[in-house]
Amino acid sequence: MLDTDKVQRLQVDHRNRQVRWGFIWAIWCAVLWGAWYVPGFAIYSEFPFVDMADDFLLAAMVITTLNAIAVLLAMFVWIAVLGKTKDYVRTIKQVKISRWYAPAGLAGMLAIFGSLLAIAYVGAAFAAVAALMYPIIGALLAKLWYNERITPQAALGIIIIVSGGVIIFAPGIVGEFTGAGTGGLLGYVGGALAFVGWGVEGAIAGRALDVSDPDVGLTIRFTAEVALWIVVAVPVTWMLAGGRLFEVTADTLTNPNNLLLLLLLGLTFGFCYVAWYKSFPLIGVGRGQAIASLYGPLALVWLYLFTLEVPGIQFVIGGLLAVVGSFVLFTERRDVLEVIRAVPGVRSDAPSPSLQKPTR
Amino acid sequence: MSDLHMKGYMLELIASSEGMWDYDIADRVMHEYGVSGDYWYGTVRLTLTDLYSGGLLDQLETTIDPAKSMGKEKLLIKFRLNDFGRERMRQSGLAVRS
Repeated sequence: MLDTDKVQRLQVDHRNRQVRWGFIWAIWCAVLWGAWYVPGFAIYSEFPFVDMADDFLLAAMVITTLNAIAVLLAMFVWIAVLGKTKDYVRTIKQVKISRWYAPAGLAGMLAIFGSLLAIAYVGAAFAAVAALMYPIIGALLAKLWYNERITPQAALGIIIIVSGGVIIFAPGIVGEFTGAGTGGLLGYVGGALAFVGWGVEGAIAGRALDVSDPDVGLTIRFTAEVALWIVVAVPVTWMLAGGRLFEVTADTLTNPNNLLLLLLLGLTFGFCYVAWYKSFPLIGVGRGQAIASLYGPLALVWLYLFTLEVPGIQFVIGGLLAVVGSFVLFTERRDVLEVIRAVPGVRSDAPSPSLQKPTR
Repeated sequence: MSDLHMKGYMLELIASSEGMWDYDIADRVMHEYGVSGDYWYGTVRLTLTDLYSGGLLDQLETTIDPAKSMGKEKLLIKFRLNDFGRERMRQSGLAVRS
């Protein structure tokens, strides 16, 4: 005969363990995501990028391509260690699933390219906090594509995030248009690309991740990104920049400091994604994203530690507002911690998933 | 060995039943892919947690039976595919009974 109390105790333990690990993964994501901006910033001080102030578009393109390759290599090692390499091949062959990772990879690559432009033209602190706007895009796409209702609390969260965004973006953009700026308009476009791209990526990738393994799925997403760079972006850049593209790439790879920075970029970015997606099933996509948004303030701390430059006050205030808004937006109506997704209409006749009756 | 990826195979397996215990699912999956040990058992359970919190599975029952979980007192869970899970499977080209 089973002891009901024991079953209930094990259920509580099981849930507590899930929640604890979920928070640990989400915090790791925030730490690593924030840390990514340090090598992303430092690489612009290295040859050949240090001499490319007149050509940051090409610099950002080369860095983003090499960043994607570095992340993909890190992910290949990761899935090999986990014993999931065969599952990677099997998942790619399920075209109806793997095809979703192509648009997700496209949106993600635009976000990373935008971030690196923002670092080059405006600064790393700006790039980090600008991307904090991405939950707005996710919420709007969920409304447009999946007909999810935007609740009053979610709307309040969006308003707080947007006000943070105005504080982050407005002073610089106004400066550009009144002639007081530093010619960094492309950096602000990059900041916008970053949050739009990551918002779109999240909305698309979630669908494919429902039916594929997260470690494998992320590897496919970066495979798609590398393929897009090599098949589309490299030829286009070659047409625009000519042989300069290959000179810069060769110069990059022959400077050992760049190889070290690329390794750091690949590891921080790859594992921030891994930790992010591992947190979702354990504490919910909403909580995972809210905690991960702490990467913004953490990036400011990391950058301060490494550069000893105090970030602009507008980035600190705007970034903190965006984090508060993310928590308001993401943590609504999620009183049952272990069930993330409410599927209205579809499961209304099914028994409540939180109902776990112990058997005798 | 199935041509499907592991998570797809698990979904089709659960879809073909009225409800399955996690240890049965783990046994079938590990046998299908020719793997064994605590690591893969844990991987299957983690994937089930993932599918459940993604809203594709419902939990029917829970129990404890150390004989079914390698001598340890672990929570065992019986899962069933729900309508949302069936919809996602159809959208992904996975075989599912209507």
